[in-house]
Amino acid sequence: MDTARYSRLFQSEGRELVSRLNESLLALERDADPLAHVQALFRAMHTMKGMAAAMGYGSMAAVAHAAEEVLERLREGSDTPDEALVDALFATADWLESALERVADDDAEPDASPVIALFVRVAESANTNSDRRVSVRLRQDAPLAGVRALMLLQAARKLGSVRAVVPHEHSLGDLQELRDLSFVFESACESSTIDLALRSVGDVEGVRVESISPDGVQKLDSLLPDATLQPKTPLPGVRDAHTSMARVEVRRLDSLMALTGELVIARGHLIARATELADASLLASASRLSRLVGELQEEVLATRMVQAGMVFDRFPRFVRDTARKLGKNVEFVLDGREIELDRALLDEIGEPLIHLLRNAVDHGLEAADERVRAGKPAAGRLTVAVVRERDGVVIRVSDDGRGVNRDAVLARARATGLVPAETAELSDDDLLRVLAASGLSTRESVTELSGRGVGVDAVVTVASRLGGTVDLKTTAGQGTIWSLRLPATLAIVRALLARVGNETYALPATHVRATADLADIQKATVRGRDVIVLGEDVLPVVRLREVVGLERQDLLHQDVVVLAAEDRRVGLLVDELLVQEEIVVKPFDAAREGARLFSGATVLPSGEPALIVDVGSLL
Amino acid sequence: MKHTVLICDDAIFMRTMVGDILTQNGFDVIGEAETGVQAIEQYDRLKPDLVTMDIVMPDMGGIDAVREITKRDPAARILMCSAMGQQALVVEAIQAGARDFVVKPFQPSRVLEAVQRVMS
Repeated sequence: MDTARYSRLFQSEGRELVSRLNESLLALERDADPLAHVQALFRAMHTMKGMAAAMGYGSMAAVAHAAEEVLERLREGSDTPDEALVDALFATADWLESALERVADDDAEPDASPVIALFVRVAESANTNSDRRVSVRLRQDAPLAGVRALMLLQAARKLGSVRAVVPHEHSLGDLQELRDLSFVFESACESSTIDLALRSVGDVEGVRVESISPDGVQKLDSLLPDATLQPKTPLPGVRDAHTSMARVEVRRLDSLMALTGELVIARGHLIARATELADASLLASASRLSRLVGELQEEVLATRMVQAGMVFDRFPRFVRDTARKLGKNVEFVLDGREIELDRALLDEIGEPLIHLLRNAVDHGLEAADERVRAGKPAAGRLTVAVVRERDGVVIRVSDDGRGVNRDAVLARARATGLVPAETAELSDDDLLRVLAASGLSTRESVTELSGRGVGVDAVVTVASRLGGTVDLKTTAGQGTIWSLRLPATLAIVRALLARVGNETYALPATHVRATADLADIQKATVRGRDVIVLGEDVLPVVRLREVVGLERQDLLHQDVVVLAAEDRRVGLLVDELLVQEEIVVKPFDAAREGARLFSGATVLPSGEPALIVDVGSLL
Repeated sequence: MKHTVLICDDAIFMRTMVGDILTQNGFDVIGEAETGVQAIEQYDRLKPDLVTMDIVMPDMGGIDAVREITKRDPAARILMCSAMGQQALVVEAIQAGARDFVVKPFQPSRVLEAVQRVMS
């Protein structure tokens, strides 16, 4: 059979089946009548088996078959869907997903033994055995880590028998970069002996030996709570959509993007020069070139756009796993997975969102009994919604939990001097600032507060690096909403250029609501602060001169730019507004004083550098 | 008593460097070999406590030399010296019986760590 013809079909249908498996499993776990979902699972698994076998993928067929048998027993009622079994089925879905990716890449199936071993263990759940799972973490600077991993296996085999090696043993010799090795180990040795033997191989940072209890569930390592909550694999970047696609190295897309950025700048130079020379034929060529560059840029941007689901589809599983580990009951909703975002942005934002989700499950959402006492449904509700807004997107993470404990954060902020000691109350904005500044947790107990940096600072940092802003709204007893406002694409943004003194600054157009000549608008002073009145709105005035440390100067003509982020607005006073430009954002090391005010730098068509104002920091 | 070492590398520069690191740390360099054949011959004659072995050498390569030496003396302690990019060869050398490896450019601390592991 000419399998190449079918492989595309196999991929798209396979992926669909995997997501159906995940959905059914999540439903099975939640539902009072789990058996209602077994039939759907069985059908999906059966289809997968048939397809894989037809394509000649023996391991995938074998895994699907093993799962099918377990499901068959469930269907007959000769087995119940206990935790170990559901875990094995989730692991199967994960494995099938990665197998689909692997066969699309190089037509080689990954090692099925770890998954098969899970089913074997489920089947023999009554038997006790001396199996242990050994995880070894190598030093980051370990040279030829794959070789070291092989040496570790060699050392382990002197003490017992090794199986279910992850990553697959055959691939180890070729791996250049590897941090973690794990395998199932059958040995009569004490854990401490195993630990010692493995450490003596060298370049080992840590060893974990966990017993695999008889019911097949691995015991959680209580020493490393955070590690157990991490997703097992890093969030993936682009994965193929289901239609015909070429796989392109991400690095190439990035360099294409950077080159296009440079081209846009060069176009600016050329047009400026052609205009100067007033040469009609040169201008005609330049404007044709300009149009082509514009189209090229759009195409390049489009290649980088991927659906939010590509990364966010991991969240339901992550929330489920986290909730289970913490003994919480959580209903998770993902909205707007079809909204397209720049791949680079999506990659960056995945981890911070995971932080927020973990926080929500761990600290935000209450335990079921506490919720019921408060008159809420027993299951906590957690939502991630992606919404398109103007030329950006907003990602909202909201929960209906207890809300951030303002008093605890305030007490802590006072104690550490983050706010003046007399501060009686923290607004949402202050709260965000304090949380971000200190890495404070939102949980009440002080040990937890100091014990866990939960990464609000990471969230804020990433968002601002991406040219976005973060907003926090939280109400005691009702819940918390995090809003991340981000540009839809990265690297090239439209900006309004403004001059103060001899310096030019770029104001991202996403945040610009209006511009006006100061002479034409109404000014006033409210409680000692300068404000401007626009229609019914009274906006505080910020002088860019003062912000960047220049002397205040009240010129005859000054321009006002109304900037907005979330629902806050401000009138920014500049000496002069120049033009709107597409600028290439260069990330910028916050080395200099006051860098917090800028989210990046750019090179203007004139060749001059300009700093990009971080609008969020002005508001 | 000082541990004895045989250094096998076709480049004088590397032999000198490895020799210096080991001498400064209490080893006695009792032999140097430029080829795999020389390495085997000198191992038989000198019975050093430790051998450092370059992977690629003229005449007979380091891996074959490891194979030959460990055949004669399964207790031989051989440390492979590899360049980046020779991962597959290092795997082969370890399977042939080498105890550990270091990667060029050498950092003295890493060489010593590896030597200590091989000697222990």
